[in-house]
Amino acid sequence: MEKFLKAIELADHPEKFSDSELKFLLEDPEIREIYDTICQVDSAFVSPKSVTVDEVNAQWSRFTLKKDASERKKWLLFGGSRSVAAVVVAITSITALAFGIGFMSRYLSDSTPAPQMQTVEKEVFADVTVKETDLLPYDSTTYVVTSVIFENETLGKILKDISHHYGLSFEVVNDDAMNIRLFYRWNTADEAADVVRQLNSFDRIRLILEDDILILK
Amino acid sequence: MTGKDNIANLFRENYSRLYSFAFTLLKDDAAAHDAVHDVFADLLNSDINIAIGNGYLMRSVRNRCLNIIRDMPIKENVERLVMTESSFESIFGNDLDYEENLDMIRRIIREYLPHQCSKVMLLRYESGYSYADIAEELGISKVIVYKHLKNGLDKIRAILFRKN
Repeated sequence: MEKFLKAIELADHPEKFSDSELKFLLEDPEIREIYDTICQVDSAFVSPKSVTVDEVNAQWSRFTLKKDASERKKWLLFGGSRSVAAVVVAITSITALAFGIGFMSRYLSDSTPAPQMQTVEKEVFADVTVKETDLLPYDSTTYVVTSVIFENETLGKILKDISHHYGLSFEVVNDDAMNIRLFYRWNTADEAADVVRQLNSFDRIRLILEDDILILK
Repeated sequence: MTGKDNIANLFRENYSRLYSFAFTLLKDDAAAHDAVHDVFADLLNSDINIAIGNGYLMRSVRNRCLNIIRDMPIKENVERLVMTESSFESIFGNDLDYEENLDMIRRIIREYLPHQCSKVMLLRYESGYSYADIAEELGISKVIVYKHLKNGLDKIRAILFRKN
């Protein structure tokens, strides 16, 4: 009975004990068992607030705000300029870099050294445009997009972007599947076959890659 | 089995259940919301493209709550009557059965304890009466109140031990 009274005292009035006293008391197996049973009974009668649909929507808004705030740091490299449009992919930036170097080597004298290029790998959200001009070296840094995040995007949009990136034709057999919405992180350095394999791991998606044709079945 | 194909849909479809589970573990509204948010934030930041099942989310919330409990000062845990990690498994080991376990505790108290013992337990844990108020309500001494509480808790512990 003595240990029972001690257990209910620490459960009812933890403020009377220091942290080390609580820790010491709960190291006693009998006191800990009684305390845990009190906690379990308390759990049986404690009622969480019911979560309405409005509350769930509010929590989703809160969640996305927190996410956006942490992702906003990634945009500092782009100097804050952004607009909404399609995604810019790695091949485009590499092509722009190659064009820039070719252009400069043709018109500059031999004594003029080629500008030093730095390439910084970045990931972007699909709903933000990185303009081609951002990729040309107005300073000495070129930004190469390596990872694209599609958030709640339709499969049709995702496949159009991916097929464009890999130079594939895109055919649709299953129109309904075009409207499936996904969260998908696309590593643009992956081979097309790997991307198709990743997307096929989602339920209800069936993609086939035949030669240079991406087919949605 | 659901796929990880829409974080927003996963969030909306599962949030209420996951929040209730987190609240049962943490007994704090804000902490429960944060725990569920953390699980979805991890999903968003992971490279996992596997199908997300019902059990995966519940286990993720349980593990997140366990980490929160480990990091909290012991006094704060006791103030909220958060159980110790060692007894976690007996109630929350199989996450999908936790409601069944809690329901069993309520049934034991209401249907399987002696009448007076049941009344004392319900007045204390369901209605939040003080020991003195229980004694006055039932016309018994506080010593008898403590005896009934001890008997009730012992019975619950014995049944849960046999079940597990």
